[in-house]
Amino acid sequence: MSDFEFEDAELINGFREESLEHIEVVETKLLDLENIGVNPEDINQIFRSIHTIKGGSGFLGFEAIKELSHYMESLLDLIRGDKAEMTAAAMDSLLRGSDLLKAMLNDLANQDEVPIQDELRVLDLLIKGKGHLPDDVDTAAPVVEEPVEEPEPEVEEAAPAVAAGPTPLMDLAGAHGLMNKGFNVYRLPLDREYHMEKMKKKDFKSLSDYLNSFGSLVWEDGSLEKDGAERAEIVFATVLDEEFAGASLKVDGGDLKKLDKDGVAALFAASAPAEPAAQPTAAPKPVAAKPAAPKAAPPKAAAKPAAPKPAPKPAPKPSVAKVGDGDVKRKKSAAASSTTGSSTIRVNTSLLNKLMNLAGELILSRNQLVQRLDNKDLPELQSLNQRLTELQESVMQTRLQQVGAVFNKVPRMVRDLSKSLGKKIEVVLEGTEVELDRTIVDAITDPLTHLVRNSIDHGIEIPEERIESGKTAHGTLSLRAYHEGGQVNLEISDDGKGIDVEILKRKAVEKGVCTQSETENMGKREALNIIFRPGFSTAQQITEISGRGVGMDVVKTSFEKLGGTIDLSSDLGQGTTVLVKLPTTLAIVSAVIVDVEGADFAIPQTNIEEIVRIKEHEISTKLERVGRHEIFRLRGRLLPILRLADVLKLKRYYTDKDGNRQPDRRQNLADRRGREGSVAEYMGHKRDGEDRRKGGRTFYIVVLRIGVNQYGLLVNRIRDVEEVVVKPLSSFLKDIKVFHGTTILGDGRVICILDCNGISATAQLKFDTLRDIEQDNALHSHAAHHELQSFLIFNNHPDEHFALPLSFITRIEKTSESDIEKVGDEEYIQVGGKNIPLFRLEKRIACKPGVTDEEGTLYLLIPNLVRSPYAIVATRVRDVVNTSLDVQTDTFKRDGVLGSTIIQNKMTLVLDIYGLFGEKRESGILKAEEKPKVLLAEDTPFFRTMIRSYLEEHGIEVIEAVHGQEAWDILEKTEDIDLVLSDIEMPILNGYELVAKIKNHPTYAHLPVMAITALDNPQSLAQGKKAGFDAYQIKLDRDELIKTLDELLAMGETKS
Amino acid sequence: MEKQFMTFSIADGIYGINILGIKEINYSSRFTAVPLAADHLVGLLNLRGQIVTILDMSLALGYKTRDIHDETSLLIMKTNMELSHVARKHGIDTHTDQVGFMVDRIGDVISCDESEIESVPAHIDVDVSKYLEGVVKRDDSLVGIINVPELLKYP
Repeated sequence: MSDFEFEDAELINGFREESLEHIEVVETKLLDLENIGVNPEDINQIFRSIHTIKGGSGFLGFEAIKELSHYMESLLDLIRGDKAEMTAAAMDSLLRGSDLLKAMLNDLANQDEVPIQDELRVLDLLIKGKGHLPDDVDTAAPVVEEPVEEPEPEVEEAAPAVAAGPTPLMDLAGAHGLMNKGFNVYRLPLDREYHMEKMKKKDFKSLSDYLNSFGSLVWEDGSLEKDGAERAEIVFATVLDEEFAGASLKVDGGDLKKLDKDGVAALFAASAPAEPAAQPTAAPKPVAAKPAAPKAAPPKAAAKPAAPKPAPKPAPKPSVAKVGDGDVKRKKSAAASSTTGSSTIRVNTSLLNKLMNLAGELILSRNQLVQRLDNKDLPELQSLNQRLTELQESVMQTRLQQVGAVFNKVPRMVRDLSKSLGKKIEVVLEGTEVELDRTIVDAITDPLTHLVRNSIDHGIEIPEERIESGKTAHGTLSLRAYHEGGQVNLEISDDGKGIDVEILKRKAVEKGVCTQSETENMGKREALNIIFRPGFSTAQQITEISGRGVGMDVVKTSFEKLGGTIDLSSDLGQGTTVLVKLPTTLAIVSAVIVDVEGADFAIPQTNIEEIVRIKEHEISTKLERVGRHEIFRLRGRLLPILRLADVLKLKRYYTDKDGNRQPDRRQNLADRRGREGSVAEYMGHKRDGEDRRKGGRTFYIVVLRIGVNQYGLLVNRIRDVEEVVVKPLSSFLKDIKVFHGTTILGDGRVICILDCNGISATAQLKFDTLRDIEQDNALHSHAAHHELQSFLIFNNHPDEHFALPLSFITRIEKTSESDIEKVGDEEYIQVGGKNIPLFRLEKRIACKPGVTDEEGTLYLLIPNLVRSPYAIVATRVRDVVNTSLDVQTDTFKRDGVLGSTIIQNKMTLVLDIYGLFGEKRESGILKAEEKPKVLLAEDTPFFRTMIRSYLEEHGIEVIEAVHGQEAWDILEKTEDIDLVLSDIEMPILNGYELVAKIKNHPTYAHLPVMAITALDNPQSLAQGKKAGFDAYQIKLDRDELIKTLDELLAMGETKS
Repeated sequence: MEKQFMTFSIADGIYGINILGIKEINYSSRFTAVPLAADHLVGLLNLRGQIVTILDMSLALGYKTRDIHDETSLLIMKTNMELSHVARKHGIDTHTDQVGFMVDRIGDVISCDESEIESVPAHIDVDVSKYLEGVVKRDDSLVGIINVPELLKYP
């Protein structure tokens, strides 16, 4: 912190350079607009550039620049919102404005000398005239206009007119109180010319505001409020020690005279007559003792934005003597800082970059050398290796910079902003020592600042609001940096009010950022990430702090450009956390080298979520085509798959038996792409005999993440993971968006590094439509993974596989053939002191008789819910699988078998335990003419099949719905439905919502609704009753289910 | 003022490039093809740690693309940064990137006075002649002098 001033200078230089770049963009784009025509993207870009300048100037206190850019931004905002026209007058004014900005930026020290008032007036007229100037206005004539309202809360506070003369701004007790709390009190004589220039303040008045941002003004000699006062003397209290206080004020520490308690008392005593202790308790808190600027009172302050500058500016140039004086002082402070910083020198970054490149190339040369050597174990070589590695690491380190460089700017910003917003915010910084590549640190400053501002502005509430919601008056903003998985994570979190997803969704729809139906189907995380879409901002009003929502989409792209990702989570009332993941360095990345059709490419590891191996024969079952996309089911999620070979339009090759690469003549690539066939068709089924002999090739799906979206890249092989030096892409290849850069591998080959964003853009992956498909799919296929069943898979005969829902079985006993006792045809076995009859599948259903192993091991499956205590005999219990089965009922329908399905690639018979034991319902089957109609809402195919079979067996007509909404739609369309049977957990509209809808509808209120659920606990029973269900049963208990159903039906009849 | 040109052939044509712009001649064929790149971009070559973009200039000069054969050579150009003061004084210009041209065969270095450079004969298609600064007569044949910056704008 000792070189505080120096850092500031760097900050200001950075701002100047960046802003000048922005101005260049603005100019070119404006000229483009003039020549080519208005293009919304261009206007957006101009707007963002001006916005950035405004933000930076506001932060650094360049008021004139801030003001002009604010006006320009306001006009541009209207234009981009189609609320104003881009007229020639507007264009001219904006161009003139950017000229003025340029002039000010080029001479930042005197930025407030540039005459901008005329332009501000014109801009103001344009803003009011929606891009048009009133006809009668001569743009040169000075017209005094009301300035555009700028929400500056501190200006709103009314303050008593300040009398001239020494003014204590708080009472003695207050000042002493501060001192007791550890505040230091300084007396500072100020010289207008010298200090105003140094502090970059327009006048003493703005200085007093500034002072209040990090301390409290205790006393002033009355000159602060006076126009044109040459000198002033102030006394202020701050926690900072002399050195830091001086640095913050940009004065030399020696100028500050520290006062002790007596000194303060003397000061108050001296000024007492002028201001007789009128307000002894007026300022109990130092924060409130702000001498606010009354908007109307001093003419200078009020006329600031529009009126011409106060005419006689006394001595525009500092006198020679003073310059000399100032110079000496500056030299002194420079010398002071150089002694403390003697262990570091400043090096041009381009030199560092060159060193970096050389180190990288040296490693390549080494690798190439090694390949030519026969003896790779030479001790000299090992020594060389070690030195080189060290060299590379050291050079890398020169490029690294601590995150603190960015983080440490935050407290000051928070202090300034929180004061102006009347909020109390504590900043917690963690992991400031975490290092990142310099270029990254530089590049994250802006987006990070934006995130912090958002947290302060929209996140953390004002103290009253916080106390009301049971929180501490102080909000906490924490910034954390930490390493994770080779990346650096930055976490910006606040304990503010959080984000209301519903409001956010509504706003998104209002602003046309997304459609109503889109938001309805969104999960919370997805909805929260709407914030990052262009054109979205939750700010109710435009404030200087967070602006007009330029931010979040730009923030996101800034991080993505660095190869990072951003994710936002928020709990309403609890706070918001933004997680940014960044690579530590851009120059060297860890990359996975993949092979596709014999060509190698590098994929940065930071983009890779996981790699899935897929056998050629599995492709047929695991890849399918949905619409335009090929998809892969990855743990229940639909992952769009891109074939890298196709993305890159590579010809397919195969390696013949002599090891030569031959073009693949098996099938024409274009044909393949044009057809609607699946990958399996050309990769799996059409392979030739040679492949078959090898047992099928293995492919890999590299799962990549871009933002919240994921996609898979199908490649032939994963070769290696290598640290590669990223070299920029040849300018002849700049148009190819799928490449990020190039690199040279250890063996000297040049390969291209893939750009994961570019690939998905080139392939026109539409994640939104895919999500719709996913939703659809989840409903209509067996991918409804949220309600999986556990099935016990067992054999009787080794060739035949059976499955039983695990919930039907109370326990499994291992026993032996020899333990069986026979009574006539019946077999019994002793289990837990009871004789239980054995049930052999081959006796009931057509299947092969059981074959035991040599020891005659048997497993007994003891079912529950059935009245007869039988034990089903199995010779082998293979597995318990969690799956959502799609049972085919038509192929194997017979007593005791519900149907067939494929589990682990094997045809498996799913047993119906009631049918197996021949347990017909005792109450008998209902007669045909009175066939009741039951609407069954159940999203799990297995249960749907099972319950349907029970009901149909019982003589009930069943109409199926796969979710609540469909059930409701059917209900509205179909007549004479006697009863609704509904699952609880369903997509779109769940059981509770469905029953509420039914019971609240006049036509259906009488309809009996019964809940069926896999859960059996008193809580859910109570909840079900509360929700309006007439009855509640467990899915698997056929008897109880049917019994209750009959009762309900009977009740329904008597009612109607 | 005397100028020196490195001559080379593409199919049956002979061309020359001012030697001041040439870095070296290379016979490697270990370059990496780049998918999706323009037809005349043959690939990327690792030249001692620098990546060189190899271009096939035959398309620009009105020939079909060339296959790589035993005599295929690469003329590696200096980058703008690498050009000597002399080269700059002669108005030689290349490219900011390291580029190399793939040619069928490397010939001799010829010297000629500036005055010997004639304008491109009218019968040459304007689409080709725009890549030539002029022609020089040598041993009954015409040597087309390549305008390198122009050629690098192809297509």
